[in-house]
Amino acid sequence: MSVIKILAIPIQLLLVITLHLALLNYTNDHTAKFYETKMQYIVNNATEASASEMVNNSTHLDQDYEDLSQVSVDPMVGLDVYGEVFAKSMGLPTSNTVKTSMVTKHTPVLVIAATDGYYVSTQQTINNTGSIEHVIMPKIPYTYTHNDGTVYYLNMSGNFGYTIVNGQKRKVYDLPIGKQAQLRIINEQIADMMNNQIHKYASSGITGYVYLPSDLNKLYSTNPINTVTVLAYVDNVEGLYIDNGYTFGIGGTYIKQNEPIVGFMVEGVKYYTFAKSAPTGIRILETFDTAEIAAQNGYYAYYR
Amino acid sequence: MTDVIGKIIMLIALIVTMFLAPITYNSVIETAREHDYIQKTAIEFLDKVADTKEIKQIDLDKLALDLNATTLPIEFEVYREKKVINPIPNGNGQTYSSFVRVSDNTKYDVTDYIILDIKQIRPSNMQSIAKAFSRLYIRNFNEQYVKKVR
Repeated sequence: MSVIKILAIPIQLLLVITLHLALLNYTNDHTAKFYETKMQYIVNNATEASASEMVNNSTHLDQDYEDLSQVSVDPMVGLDVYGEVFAKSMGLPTSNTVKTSMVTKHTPVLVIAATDGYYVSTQQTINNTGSIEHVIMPKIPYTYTHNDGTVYYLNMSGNFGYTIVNGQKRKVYDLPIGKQAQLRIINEQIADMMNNQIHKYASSGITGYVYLPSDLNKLYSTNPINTVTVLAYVDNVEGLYIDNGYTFGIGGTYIKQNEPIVGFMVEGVKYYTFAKSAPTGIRILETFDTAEIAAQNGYYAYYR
Repeated sequence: MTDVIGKIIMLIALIVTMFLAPITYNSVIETAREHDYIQKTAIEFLDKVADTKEIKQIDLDKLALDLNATTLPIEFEVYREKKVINPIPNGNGQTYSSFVRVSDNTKYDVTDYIILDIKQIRPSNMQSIAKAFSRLYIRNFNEQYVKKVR
């Protein structure tokens, strides 16, 4: 064989090996990015569902839809739904154990921004053997300290606040700052808390910062937090999809309408369903705020 | 004799270099793009259903067309799951919850789940050729997307 032929074989081999390695690298990169996108979608869904469920379950909704300060949220409902949607999206069963593990193992930081304060759910070591549990801290109010030293307790409605005078809580309508400034302060406080908690608890050595803009801006078209919102930082997802991946999810909601749940009887069995899905011609016996309350009252789910 | 072996090796090397390697390269890149496209289509579909709370035949037709715009032979299934909370008989107000698949998947209530299963039936022609070269890069698309109606 000529020299060219002798050299051609190792060159061919080198080419094939290089192509193999390049394609392997590309495929691994793409798979990681693909599942990162999917994971982001899952976390966004979970936070969004969590926020929606809390608002839907708000017992004060029927008073005034426009008044945000009337919306109360239950962080336990939020955590439960977050875990449920997360588990279901991952194709896992939605038992309490799995739901809890979705939060405790994979979500080091979860912030529930209510209208007048926020809850922070973080991992805490609960005993000296290193067991980790998620703990929801008491609600932290949004505060603003004015130049004269007066502390104002803000809410997302921006129409009024509270202050403490001689140990008494007093409602204040003429706040020294406008609605946009209040929203900016609320967003800053939530962003600061997220950053602190992420840097404290995240396991993957994150170096970036969470920035929540206080106004809708043209450049990035991002929305500020101005309603009930859930923010989650997910990491430690090894074994789920990707190695050492982490993602940040944010889900807000708005009050569009309240869908009442009605109770009725068919052939001697008590059923409940959403009012719009109830069969025609039935007589409504009771209405309920949530499906859980209907079931507690002995009503069974009615579905087509 | 040596020359014949040399020629065979050269021929194999030529086939690999001129045909298999480019086809594999092209197939891997194309598959990655198509996986991204399918995922994007699935997410758009679920978001739309979650917003409108209904699926019309035209939506399913559009989804089928969009998914079949790829070279991958794809089949999909859309179904609706409802979380039901029922009382435990003689349970003094205690309840249990479960998920049931509802036959009518055209209308959705708040808190229902819409689930989209997308499966690749078999490798595409390009993928089959690429798989002959190496099975390391090509994976079949088999994903489930879940959305809770808000």
